[in-house]
Amino acid sequence: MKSVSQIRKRTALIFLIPVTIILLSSALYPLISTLYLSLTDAELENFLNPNYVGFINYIENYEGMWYGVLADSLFWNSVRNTLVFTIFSISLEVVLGISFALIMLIENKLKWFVRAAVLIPWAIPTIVSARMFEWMLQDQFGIFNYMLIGLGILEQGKAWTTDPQTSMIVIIIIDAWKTSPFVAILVYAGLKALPNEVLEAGKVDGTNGITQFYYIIFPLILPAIAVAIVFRGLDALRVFDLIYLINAGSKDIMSMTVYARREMFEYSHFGFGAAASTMLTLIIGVIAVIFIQRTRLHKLDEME
Amino acid sequence: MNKLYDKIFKYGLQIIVIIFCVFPFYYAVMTSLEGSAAVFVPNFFPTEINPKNYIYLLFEHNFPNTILNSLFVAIVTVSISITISYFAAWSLSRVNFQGRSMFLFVILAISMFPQIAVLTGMYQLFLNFKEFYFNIFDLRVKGITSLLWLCFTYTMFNIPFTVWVLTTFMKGVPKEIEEAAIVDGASSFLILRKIFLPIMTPAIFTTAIMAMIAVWNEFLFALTFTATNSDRTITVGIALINGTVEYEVPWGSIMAASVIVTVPLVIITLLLQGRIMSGLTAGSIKG
Repeated sequence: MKSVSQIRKRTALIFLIPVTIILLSSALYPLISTLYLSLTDAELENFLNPNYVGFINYIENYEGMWYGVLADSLFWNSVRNTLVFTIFSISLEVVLGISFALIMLIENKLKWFVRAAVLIPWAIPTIVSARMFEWMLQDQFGIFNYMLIGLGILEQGKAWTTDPQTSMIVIIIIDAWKTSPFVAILVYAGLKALPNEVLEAGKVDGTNGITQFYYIIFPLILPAIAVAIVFRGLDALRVFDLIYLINAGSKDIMSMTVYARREMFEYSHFGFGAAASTMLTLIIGVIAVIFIQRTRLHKLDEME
Repeated sequence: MNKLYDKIFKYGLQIIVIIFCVFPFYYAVMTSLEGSAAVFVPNFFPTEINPKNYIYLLFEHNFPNTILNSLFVAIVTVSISITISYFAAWSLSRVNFQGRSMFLFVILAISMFPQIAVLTGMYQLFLNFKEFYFNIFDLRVKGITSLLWLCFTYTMFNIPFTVWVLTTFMKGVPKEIEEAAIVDGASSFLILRKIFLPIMTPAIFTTAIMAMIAVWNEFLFALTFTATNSDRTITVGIALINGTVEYEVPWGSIMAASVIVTVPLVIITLLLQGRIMSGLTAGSIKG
């Protein structure tokens, strides 16, 4: 048997070669070259042969003035926007996700429809969600303004997506619409994995369902919620499409990814953009490590 | 009386969830079916059915081309990543070797990586690739350079996900099934083909669909690496639909395009509802 298991081990390693090659060539190499480019003066003209310039893309003091990504208030602005987006969208998604999951548990004729409906926002491409909401929120012909005017709340249609004061709220709501189902499905799976008695206990003397939920069910599904938060959080921190698509030109609501990409492909400051994306990776990395430590998700890799 | 009240309350909650999830899509379908005048009158039900927006997209616009491009990229990417991941998943789920959990952890870490972190390096690599490619092939096939490149980058971003999900699924296969074959002296390759493939087909299919949806919906790389009308994918295509008149957004056409790219996804998702749910949870919960 020993030789069989040795052969299996060898085969296993051979089977892992393609994955390893792809990950090395397409993840590690570009990552390192991005790091290197962030230390160069790469622009459009010298992109293939840039010169090493040290850390001036990050920070530089030139004749008493500070330059570089770290001295750019727009960059810090984008960091703030990203954090605001992440914190609010995830809070909203967790609340909606848990509510949806509980509603998905209801056993009756509509059960199938609820489960089906919940998956629809998840399957729709972000660009489509963005356009659909833009259209519903459009100032002159949008159904949302039409309803508000009809209810007497507004006198005149409001341009929700282009107004810098409301566009971030709109983006958070679209994101919550699109991804609450994901959270709901994770929580639902968590709930389903609970012993039936736990769920029944709440129903029997369910005079106060909310208290029951808070004290009995909530602690038990906390791991599922933590997983959802980590996955969604890392996704939200690198947000690009929604913010780029809604109110693209606005500096006020730029996320970190939009900032870095803008430096690269709109201004052709590849070195500077690389520095910005390196900073972004560092920031996300630090947040991820803190979060994974806190939620003890690093135990995920310890397999039985 | 109390019971009836409880029943109505539950139905009410379910209906709220259904409307919340479905209404934006319903509204897009409705708008797409209206002619240009009716589009600009807000209403909840269509006042007319007019295929004008769809006809415009399918016959006068570059849109069908973007669908073909997306299909090409999705099929190539998913077939490559699923094939590679299938073998890797076997190694990671059925064989004990040193560094296995480390390998899985690295894969999980890469799947959470911000794409922008590699974008500059990727772009440089892309320019090199283009130069290399143009030197070898003639003008005729130049059009698909960007698409091939997209396949490459998407494969990279899909593989961590597909490996992870397939590994989780394969761990669920009972040991005994494989053991008999091992005793008989079957090679790993044969075991994977004859024993695992039939059992794993539904899981592979689910994973493939999910990977395909991810590719179909990708925007950042598609926007960065495609530059001409002929090589755009659907997400970029929709983002760039503009009216003939400036400042006039062709909402009817945009909604029609949105419906066309979304309907297949919605149908697939509804058909595979249960499987996709278990796929989504396999992708994250179980370690």
